[in-house]
Amino acid sequence: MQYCLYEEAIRCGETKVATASGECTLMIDDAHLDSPTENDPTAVCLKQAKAGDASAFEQIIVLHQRQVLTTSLRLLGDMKDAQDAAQEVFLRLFKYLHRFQDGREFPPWLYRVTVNVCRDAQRRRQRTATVSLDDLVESGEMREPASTTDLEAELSLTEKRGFVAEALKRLPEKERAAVVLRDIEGLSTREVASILGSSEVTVRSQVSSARMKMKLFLERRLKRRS
Amino acid sequence: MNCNSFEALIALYAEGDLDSSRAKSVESHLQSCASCQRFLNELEASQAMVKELATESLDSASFNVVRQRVMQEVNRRQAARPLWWRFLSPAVARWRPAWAVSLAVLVALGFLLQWQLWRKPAGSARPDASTVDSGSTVRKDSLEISTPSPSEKTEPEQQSPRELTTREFAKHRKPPVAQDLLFPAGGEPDAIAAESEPPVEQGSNLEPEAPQPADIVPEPPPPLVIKLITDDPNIVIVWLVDQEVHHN
Repeated sequence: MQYCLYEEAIRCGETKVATASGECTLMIDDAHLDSPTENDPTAVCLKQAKAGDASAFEQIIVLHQRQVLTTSLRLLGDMKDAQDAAQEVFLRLFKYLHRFQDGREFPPWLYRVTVNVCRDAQRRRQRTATVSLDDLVESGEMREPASTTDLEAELSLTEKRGFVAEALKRLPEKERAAVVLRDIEGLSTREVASILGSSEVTVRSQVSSARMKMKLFLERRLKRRS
Repeated sequence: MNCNSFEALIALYAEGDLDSSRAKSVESHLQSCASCQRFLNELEASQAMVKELATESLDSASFNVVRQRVMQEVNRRQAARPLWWRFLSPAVARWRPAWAVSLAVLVALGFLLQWQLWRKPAGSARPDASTVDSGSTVRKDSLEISTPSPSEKTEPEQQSPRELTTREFAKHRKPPVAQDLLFPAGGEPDAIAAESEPPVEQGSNLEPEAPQPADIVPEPPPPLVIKLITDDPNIVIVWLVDQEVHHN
């Protein structure tokens, strides 16, 4: 069976997904769609995984691996590091599965774990050689006024993504987490504040600062390329 | 507010992160400031690039690597668990609140029991005169016999009891008249038997009075007080016995 994510499985009407250990049946049959709790396949899988069902835990990974891996990739900027971080996130989930209360929102909790794991990984990595966007802005290197809309249109999608990924890597840790969750993952300011454990005002300030720095960095990159 | 201050607000305005009053303020400034309007356009262009990252889909191999490594580790950890815990952990996880409540009740019962055990000996240390702990040993050879004096009646606990064994009492006492009346044959009283004391003047219960002539009928003696001292210094058994005078 062709691999598909949970969202795709729902859309396609599939009840099975391919996993490392074979096919897993998703708990999304009509009988489970009646009650609000059982409407959520994650809640059903969590309950079974708490009871020691390893295949149910694998289903949880299938359902949320995109969220964890892409967020880790945005925060760390490297696929290998992101895979290590995602592995650590799911192993922490397995370790503390019994602490997760039924009925609680699972994705925000998983985002919080992901951000914490990536922050720890980044501190271990200690890439001091990286020049931050703050340094570039303060040195005046990025103050060149430029109208980049025309140049941007000529760029390939891969190049654009590479520039954005580079800009994200150069942001300060907290601003990067805020802008990834708000602008790329599309969470609300309140949700981001809850995940990061800060106030909405702080998140707005971090997001505003990050957007302006990224704008300057991207303009600089596009100008240099032209 | 200058244009530099507006740029921070424009960065929020571009994505709809401002409240309505601030958004109106930014809009009115944008209408009159070409520089800020250009800044907004550039910011919207860079934000469009950033948001394109959200549409990026990773290849399935990247996910598979993570999932396989995680499941390998999960299976290894599950295999490392003891067999009894593998059977017990689902029940523990499922009935976690019930286990917590049961444990709390057990702890509370333990404290209650411990408190009761601690309290019991403390309570038995204060017996009253009418009740004697059945477990305490009565020293039968430790008797104190006295007649109540006014001072004893008013302040009995301040009087230090005069303890005499029955043999010492028999050896040192001077036979009073009342004793002769109670035991005319002059025999030695039993160890536990009540011994009479002659009527004494108030305040001096140690000095027996001088013998009186036989034709004088003595006044009824005061009640006989027998104190039985036990091993427990806090337990004293007191008998009050009315004496009878036999006239021949």
